Amino acid sequence: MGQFVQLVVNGLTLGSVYALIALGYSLVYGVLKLLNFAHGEVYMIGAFLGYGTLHTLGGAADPALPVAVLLPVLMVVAALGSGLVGVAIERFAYRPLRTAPRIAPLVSALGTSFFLQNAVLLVVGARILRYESEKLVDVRSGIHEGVLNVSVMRLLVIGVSFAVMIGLMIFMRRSKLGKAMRATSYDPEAAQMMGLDVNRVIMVTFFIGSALAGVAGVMSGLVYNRVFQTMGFVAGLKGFTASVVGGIGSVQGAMAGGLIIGFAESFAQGYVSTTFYDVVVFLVLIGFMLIRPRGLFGVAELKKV
Amino acid sequence: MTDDTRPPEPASTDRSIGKDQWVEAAADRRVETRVDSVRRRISSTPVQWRILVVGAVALLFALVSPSDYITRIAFTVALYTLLATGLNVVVGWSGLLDLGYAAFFGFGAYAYALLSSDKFHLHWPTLVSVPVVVAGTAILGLVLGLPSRRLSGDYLAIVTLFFGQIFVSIANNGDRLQISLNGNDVPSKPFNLTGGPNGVTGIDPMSLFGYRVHTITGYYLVTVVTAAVVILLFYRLRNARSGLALRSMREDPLAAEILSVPVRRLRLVAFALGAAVAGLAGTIFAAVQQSVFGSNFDVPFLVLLYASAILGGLGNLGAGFVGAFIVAVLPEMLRTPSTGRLLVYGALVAFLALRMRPLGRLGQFVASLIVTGALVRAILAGFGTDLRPRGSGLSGFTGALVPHLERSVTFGNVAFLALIAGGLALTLLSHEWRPFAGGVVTYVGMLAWENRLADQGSITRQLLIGASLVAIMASRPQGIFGTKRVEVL
Amino acid sequence: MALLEISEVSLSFGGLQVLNSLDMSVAEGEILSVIGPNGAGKTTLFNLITGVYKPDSGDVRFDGHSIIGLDPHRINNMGIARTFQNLRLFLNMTVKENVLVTMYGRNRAGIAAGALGLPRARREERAMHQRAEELLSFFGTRLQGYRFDQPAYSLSYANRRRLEIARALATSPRLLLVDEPAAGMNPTETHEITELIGRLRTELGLTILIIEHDMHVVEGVSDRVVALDYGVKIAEGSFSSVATDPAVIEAYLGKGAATK
Repeated sequence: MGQFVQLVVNGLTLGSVYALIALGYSLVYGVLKLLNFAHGEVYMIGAFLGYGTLHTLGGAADPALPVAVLLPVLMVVAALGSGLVGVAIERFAYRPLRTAPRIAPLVSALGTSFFLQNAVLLVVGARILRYESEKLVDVRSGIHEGVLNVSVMRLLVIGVSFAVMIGLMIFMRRSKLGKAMRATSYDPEAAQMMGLDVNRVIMVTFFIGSALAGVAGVMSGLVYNRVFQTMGFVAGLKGFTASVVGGIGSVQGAMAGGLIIGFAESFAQGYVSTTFYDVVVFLVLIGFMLIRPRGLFGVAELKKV
Repeated sequence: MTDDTRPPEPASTDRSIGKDQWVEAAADRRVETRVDSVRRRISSTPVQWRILVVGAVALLFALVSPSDYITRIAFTVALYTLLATGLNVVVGWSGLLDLGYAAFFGFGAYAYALLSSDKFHLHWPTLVSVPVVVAGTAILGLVLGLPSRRLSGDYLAIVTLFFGQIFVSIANNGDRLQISLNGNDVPSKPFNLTGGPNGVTGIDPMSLFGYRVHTITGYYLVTVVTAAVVILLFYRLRNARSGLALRSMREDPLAAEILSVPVRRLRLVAFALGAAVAGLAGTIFAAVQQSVFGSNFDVPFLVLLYASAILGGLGNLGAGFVGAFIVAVLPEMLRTPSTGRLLVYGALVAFLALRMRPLGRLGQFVASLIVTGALVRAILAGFGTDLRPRGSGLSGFTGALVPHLERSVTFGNVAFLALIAGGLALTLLSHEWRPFAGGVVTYVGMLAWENRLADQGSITRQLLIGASLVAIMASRPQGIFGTKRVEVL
Repeated sequence: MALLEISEVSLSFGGLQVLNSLDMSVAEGEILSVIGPNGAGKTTLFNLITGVYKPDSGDVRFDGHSIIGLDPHRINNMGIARTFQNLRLFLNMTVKENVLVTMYGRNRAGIAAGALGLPRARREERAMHQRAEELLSFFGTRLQGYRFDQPAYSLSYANRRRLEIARALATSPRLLLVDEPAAGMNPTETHEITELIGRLRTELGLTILIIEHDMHVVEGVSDRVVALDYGVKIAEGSFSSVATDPAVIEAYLGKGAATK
């Protein structure tokens, strides 16, 4: 029982991170029908930006700001930085390819991803960096009742992630920009003819999606304490499948998908194998994609002839 | 009224409706340049002859190769050519983005390793093990192709990428295989299949028709012959019934299916064909290396393979050689700063000579380069930095132009980031500003090169490959030798 | 007996009823036109016959065999070929290759035979090439000679429509479905298409089902006309009887138009 509860908590934490990454894929896929392979690297860069900010502000042992201010600052800096990286990726790697053959954006994304990883490798090096978040908050704080043990960092991650997602849902439904994003996703050409600046909408979409990935990067750094230049690849892959499982293009779907992947990974780790959990997760995902390719919340697309 | 007032009949009687003579005569109006005539002469030679000539030259190269080191590079080119050819069939013909391709290569290598080493004390003869491995990889390709019955496009790409990850994970962790359903109970000694992070070592060399291949030259010859044979077969297949059907799947799978092409079955065939070639290349790789590790077959290698297939021109079998050449020779050039410097500055000069026209633009560029240099030096001198050049020859020359700082890592990193930002901004500028901005960016690039990139040859290579994939997709998606494609989106 | 027999076929997408309990048949050797306003379900009917969609209920029989649930390429092998309203040529393949591709179902040589160039594969390929040239000569000189080796994307719109037809013919069908062959053609070309469709029947013995908006073409080629509206058959018979049918006029021009 104790193990089960712990696995649920782990799954929820992991799932929150994946859900935030998944949102970026979903938003971008929604407007551009493009699989942004480089999204995982944006997440990685977010984690590094958070680390850099933390160190500039004195490090975890002796921060220049109170923790309650410091953590939001880390997230905002990472969000802004990642957002800009995302916008740059869109502008330079994808926009020239809007009318290119189908395969081109994927190859370009693969190249971008490779480039970003190696750029970080050059600048930062191959070592694993640690946030040392245990020095920021007392490890004993949080919820500890019976079999339930949730550290404060995990609570924070879960809370922030849900708050961000609910905020995003409201934004998409209510705000003018959110409506513009939805309109663009249905029919970019028609949206353009109705006077929407589609390029701007796409730019904003990339910014928001990448900013969320940046926040996810910081959260992962805080909880898992490991930041390295290849961390984005597998996380990005799982974030992408989370969005597929949920139904790509749907915000609720990304949340649900993220949690499903999180739980799948956590339970696979706990009950099946600690070395092959990734294999198990990937196999489950392949099965899911085969059975229901449009995902939980997705709508089947008609074959056009 | 007499007949004389009538307009004369048109001289030409060949005027059927709907036939545009201006278009018809387009070929006659075209003026042939020297490049065109060379191209025409090359393309009018039968493909088989072209392949045989290139193959023969490649074989003769083994005789004149100055050292094993050079032969090894040539071997890598040949191996990548073989791999790019297989990838071309899956991606370039059939339009299936197979991101598990590196794993097939790995599977071939591991399978050969397990069948021909002390690992399980199996020492199958090469002429038995290689066909078995190739057939096995092809079957694995069929299995991986199965999702293509339901998925296509991006989703299929992701599933194949999962497969690649699963393969790497099994290769890296396959030394502790055990069946336990509740996680705690360890029934028996774990089974070591893949050697885990230690890989499989002590792999037998190949032995063909009584000759043991034990030199790199030998493997080079084997690979060249293999690649030539595979390319010849695929060229034949390209215009045969099945090849045509495979190629139609990239164009429009639905129209192909409705007009008699069994698309779902042929997708499996395409995966299997690609996998078989990758598996074959894998056996050669394992025999040359005499050891295999899971990390050999991870995503970076996949990107290299895609780069070699795409740079030359996707869908064009022979062009795989060009991409392979670039991808395999580049890292060797960047291995030492001195050859790397030759490459970088050579490329810069070649670019300026070819593209900076008219001469005025070149002048603007050089002026901007010099002014930037002077400014940077002045600023650095203001901080009291030692700007005396070190080294001699080319390095002394560039050292005089570009300061090489003692504490160069941070400085180099900053210059590198500035180079990225500047390079991207450059693409946004209008034509007349580019020479000026180009000068600034080039100087920043030289700073980044001298202070950081030159010392990190392998990272620099990866950066170049990543950037070139993006750049080539944006500017010439058909690759260097491909013909432009038209796609209705 | 009818070559193609469509009975009680219904199909809906989501809540939209696209075909509603449709009955129709095409006799061997007949040229039947399907007309109706946009969105009447004409192209959907073609997709259904060629196996792209499966009906919710009802049956489609070709030559006495039900073809519901068969893969499109199997249906094609049985003898049904089609052209596409919005042109789906293999644009980056040459004109000749476009025609060669669709002979796939009528030939045998496998991958190995093709790659190795075995004699029987070579023999088959020679026959394929000969037949491709024959088929392309059906359109006079337009798809001949130097055009053989030009990519399909270099063709004019009218020539692309012609190539679509040649490509469908290459599968040696008994029943040819032609989707708006005259769309976007000028009057001369339209006239020529009308003649061509007649020639397809007399020279190749085809049965033809045709969707067309141009009533001159419909009048010129059809033995019989079926009119659809909202997935329901509203009229059937000779061109003159269908063209004057009040239900048809109403479907095209709106309620009350027939009585004026």
